[in-house]
Amino acid sequence: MNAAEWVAELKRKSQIESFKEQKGLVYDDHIEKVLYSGSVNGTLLVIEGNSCSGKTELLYHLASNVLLRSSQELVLIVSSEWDWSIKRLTFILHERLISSRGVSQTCKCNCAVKLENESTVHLQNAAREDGTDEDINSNSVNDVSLSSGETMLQFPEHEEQHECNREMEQLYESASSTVYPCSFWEDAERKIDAQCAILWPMEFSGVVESIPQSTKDLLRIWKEAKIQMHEDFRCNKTEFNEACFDASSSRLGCILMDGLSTFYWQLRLERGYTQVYADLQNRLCTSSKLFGCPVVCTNWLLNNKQHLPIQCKRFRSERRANARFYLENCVSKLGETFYLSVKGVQTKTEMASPYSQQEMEKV
Amino acid sequence: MQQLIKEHFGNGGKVRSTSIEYPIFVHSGSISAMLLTLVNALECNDVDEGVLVYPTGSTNPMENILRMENPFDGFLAKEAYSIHFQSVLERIQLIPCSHVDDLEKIVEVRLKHAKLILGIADISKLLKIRGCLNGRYLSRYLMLCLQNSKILIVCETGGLQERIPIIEDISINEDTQRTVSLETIYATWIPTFWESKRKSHEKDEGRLVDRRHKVLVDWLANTCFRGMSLKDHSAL
Repeated sequence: MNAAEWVAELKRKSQIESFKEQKGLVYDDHIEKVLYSGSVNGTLLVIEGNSCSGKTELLYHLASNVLLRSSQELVLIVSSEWDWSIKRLTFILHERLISSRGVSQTCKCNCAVKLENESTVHLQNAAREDGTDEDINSNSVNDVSLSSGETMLQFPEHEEQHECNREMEQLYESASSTVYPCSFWEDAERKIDAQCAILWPMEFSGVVESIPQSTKDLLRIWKEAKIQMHEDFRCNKTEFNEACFDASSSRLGCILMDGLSTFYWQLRLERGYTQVYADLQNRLCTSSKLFGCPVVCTNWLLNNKQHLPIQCKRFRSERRANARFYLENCVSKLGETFYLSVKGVQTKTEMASPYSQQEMEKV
Repeated sequence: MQQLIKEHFGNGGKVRSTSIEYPIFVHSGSISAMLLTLVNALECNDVDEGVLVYPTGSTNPMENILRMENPFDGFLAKEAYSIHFQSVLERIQLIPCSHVDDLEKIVEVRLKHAKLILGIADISKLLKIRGCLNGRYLSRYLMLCLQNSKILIVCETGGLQERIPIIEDISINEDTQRTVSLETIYATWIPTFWESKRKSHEKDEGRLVDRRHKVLVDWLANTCFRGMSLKDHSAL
């Protein structure tokens, strides 16, 4: 046993002692409070839900929390579903930077307003095509955007999900290219480039290899992710400095996996798929224990039944209304209502501000 | 860790091996301070691996740390580590030892051809289990460790004022004059002491002191050199 493993076990026992004495960590964020309360290092956290139940948006929220908390915390994102959007994370972080620095809700360079207006037009057009809002005309769209300043996301049907994702991606691309980015957007991009590593595995073996088991693994994964990001997105970012990364005081803040069951149907046809998922679970739990960070995964919920052979702490995310969702712990049944907008996840407490009262009335 | 080094070693910034005179003796109620000293030694010296040997039995080092009563226990059990600190920890192997003969095998076999950083906790407990805790045996094992390691760090979690016989055939009750304290034996072989203490509720600190002069006086007073002056003894 090396000292890292020994200390990891020591920390885990220390956490258990703290929970017994009711001296656990206090979380300011309500989503984190639901997810992380009572969880010790080495526990796998899985958010389950149907399509369009806000699972990925919750991951965006958790990632932005880590990025805002400290510049020394890193986020490792494994996107098996291949629908993780860097632009979406940049936008959410950009909005939260504006809020955290006490700036007015509207960015001075108008990139947010422009994006919101385009989102409004897009969403209303999508609604009109569905035939649900035939009476809305162009004047009403402008009135809504001017009066509120925020737009609620309207989710299309399941078969239109991928088309919607592509359209949203094009929308973000258009927004970022046509409007000169403000300093908050640039800060968000710098944070993501410095503190985020995103992997898009093509096979299940790639998913397994994306989970670090030591600092050497983490260094390799980070390097591969940066190279892949620069090649795929043609970014003119600075080259990855391996020595500087190794010597820095950064630490891993969280590991997010979007799509724990992406390759389930492929593996189900093979023998020993139970052992394969058990190995993945062990790797995830070992990473959480070793690096002292939470590991949060998303998982599809099929017919309200568990289909993955893994041991984890389960949470349920479900859509209650058009933009209102509920996240609850499947065991304790404690949960939190949250709302989705273009700006990301908001909880009821955050919606209690006077500016958000209009959103509450809308809902 | 850099801040910890800067605060507690007092040299500011990177601490090189030339700044610290090894071997080092660490006296603390748990092995937290020793583990941090081992991390520092690995970070500042050109050594690939470190080994930490600790006794098993009635006292569990992990449970001792969880009590949070000793310096740096909180740092070790609760602080979030950087990736760099984590990578240094991965280079330290922890080896539990239940008997003093096992310690001899570890030192002679494993470390003989690979000069590593060796950390040993509570040798006195191992010797006490075997029933041969005396100055002669303790010195023998300390010398063995010194010969087979590149950098040696010794830790003692118990009291240092316990008196032990110089050789094995002396009873404590029969002749108290022919006894020495644990501190004397340790300081004779390892004069550099790293003393850690809790300055306040949230601040732990340590410092390096040289115990050579102090223990020499005790040595003269309790051995056959009794009555000889310090100057004459040094001249021998």
